[in-house]
Amino acid sequence: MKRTILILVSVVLFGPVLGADSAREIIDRADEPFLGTRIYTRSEMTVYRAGEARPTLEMESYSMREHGKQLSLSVYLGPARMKGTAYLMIENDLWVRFASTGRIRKLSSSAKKNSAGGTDFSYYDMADSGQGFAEEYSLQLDDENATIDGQRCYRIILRPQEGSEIPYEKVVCYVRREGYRYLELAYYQDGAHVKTLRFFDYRNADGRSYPFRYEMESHTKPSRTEVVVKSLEFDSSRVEPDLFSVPYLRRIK
Amino acid sequence: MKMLPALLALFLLAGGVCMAEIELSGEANAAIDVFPAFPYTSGRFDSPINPGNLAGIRDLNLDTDVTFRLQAVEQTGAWNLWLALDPYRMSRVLLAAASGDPVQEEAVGASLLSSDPAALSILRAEIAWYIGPSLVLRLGRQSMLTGYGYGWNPMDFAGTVKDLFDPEAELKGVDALSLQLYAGNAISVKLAGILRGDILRSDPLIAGADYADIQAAAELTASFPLLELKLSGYYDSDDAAGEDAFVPALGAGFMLDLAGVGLYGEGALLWGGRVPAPVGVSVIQRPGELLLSGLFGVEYTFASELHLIAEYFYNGQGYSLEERQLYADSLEDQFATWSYIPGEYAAMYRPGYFAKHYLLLHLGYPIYPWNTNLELSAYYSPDSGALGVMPRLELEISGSLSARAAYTGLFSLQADRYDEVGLSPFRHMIELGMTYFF
Repeated sequence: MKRTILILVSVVLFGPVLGADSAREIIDRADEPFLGTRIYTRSEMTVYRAGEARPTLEMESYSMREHGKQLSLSVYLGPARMKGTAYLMIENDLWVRFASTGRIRKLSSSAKKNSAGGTDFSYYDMADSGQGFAEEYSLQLDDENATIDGQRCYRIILRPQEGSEIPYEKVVCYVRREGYRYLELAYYQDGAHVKTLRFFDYRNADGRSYPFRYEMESHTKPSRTEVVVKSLEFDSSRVEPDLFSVPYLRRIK
Repeated sequence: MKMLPALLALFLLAGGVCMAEIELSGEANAAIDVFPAFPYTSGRFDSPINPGNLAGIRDLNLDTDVTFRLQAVEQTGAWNLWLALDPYRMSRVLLAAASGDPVQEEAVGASLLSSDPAALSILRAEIAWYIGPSLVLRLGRQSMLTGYGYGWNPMDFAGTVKDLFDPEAELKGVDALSLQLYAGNAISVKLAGILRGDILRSDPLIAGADYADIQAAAELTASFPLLELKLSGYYDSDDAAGEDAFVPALGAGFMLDLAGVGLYGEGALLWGGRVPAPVGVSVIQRPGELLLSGLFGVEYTFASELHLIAEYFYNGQGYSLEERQLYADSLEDQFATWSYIPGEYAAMYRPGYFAKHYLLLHLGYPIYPWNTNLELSAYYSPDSGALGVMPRLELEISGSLSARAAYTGLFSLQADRYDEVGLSPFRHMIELGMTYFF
């Protein structure tokens, strides 16, 4: 009887801790392919509205972390209408460079949660810090035997840590049990499931398994955005601290 | 023989474009402007600024313009040449704010006198030398625009003044030698020597500048997390008594991000006015006293992606009720004397800068299912009663092509206030146009 009580007490006291630890372990393994200090990507983004493809956006992205600050720069290479438009984010500060005038305008941080260039990604979503998806979240392993498209996976609930600037209320994350790959992230705001990020086409890159295609589907409008990664470099020599500055925005053509 | 320079220029342009490092981009616009007039009479476009319809405004106008941007950028430097082939559209000239820049004053005057004015404007012609990651030297026609305001930038003393009816339009640069020094992302200092006059020699009769045409500008920007501060200064050796439209001035601005809301402001102190003011009927004079201008604005993006900008502008160089009345009387007197409106008087007509107090509201909303952006801009002058409303719908047809429909409505909400709308030759304009990006 004493042993039973001891086990029950242990489960009550340490169960959540053990669960959190294993959730952290799963997420850490799933995050591994996304970790890097200086990340460069060249990608094509296609927005599908009501099933119809819009002109493909071609884009270069640079991101890194320096002195604890998250830095990211996205530059549109095409189509002609968008070419030269760029977004610079330094933590919560956001600047936009307009291609038609070369003018640079600082936006309030309220813009971060909104669509970047008409896609289903927000500026916040696009700012990859190289620290993985679960940074600044507390984790809870919700289901060890969930399934997505017939694949067995872990379901982990991510909630923003107190004081963080994350615009989501929670993110429900599905990690495939085999190989610890992210399959799906479901984003919630104000109690509603607002969008879903899905990962496909995992390929070997730089010794890590990385999704070369992913898509964000909106659940508030009939729209989804598909991203095809054309080029990917971790610890890239192209990514230098000088890029993440207003002076550099002025140099973009 | 006269063809040689043109052919050479064409050759250089074509050769330049073919070189991999030089990129050509830009956009071409074509639009039909319709001016509905009520009642529809022969004098429907007559107004104090356009007596007897001197400007020759017709019910329908076909407007076309093209902007070419040639750019080359490398590690140590960059070259920019932006050209605009832009017929001076009557509608735009009469809507647009005259900057007080003598060159623009000439353009306004020429537009009112010429039947087919058109020009190739050089918007940028600059070479930048990146001496290091923290130091840039620029020589040539370059952008000097500064400040945080959307509709107005009172702390911008060097640049061409924004057009309130199209604040996002590219502006003609300033001929200058500038040096910009950066201390990381925290501090930036810009010093510039500015040459007024026709430095680029577009008109051989008035080409070049004298020592007295040299002016100086300085700007200091300090960035902190969620806060940015700016100071600007301008020096002109010939003050308000001089012949150009530039005066010594000091300005300060800030932008603060407060829980996602962008709050910004600008203040400016000018040692004299940049534009003349009426002091009697057909008597104008540049104010010589200290003038203060200021702007306060709020910017926010809602979860629905509705983007809002609201601004209040106190225009120290605006005209009082008495000055506006004198101006209206002067236009009548000038026309009676000369049978036209001289350029210096035409350039004093500055919608959006005419009175002392202005409010601006700008809303932008993307309608994704229709691939459309909807914008609404409205301004109101509480002291003159002028109201302008400008809804605009833009359809993204492809990555290179867009179509738009826009309306400009001008209304006088108070009688006998001699506002800018009462002087305007039209009250309504509908624009149907397309833009091709290349």
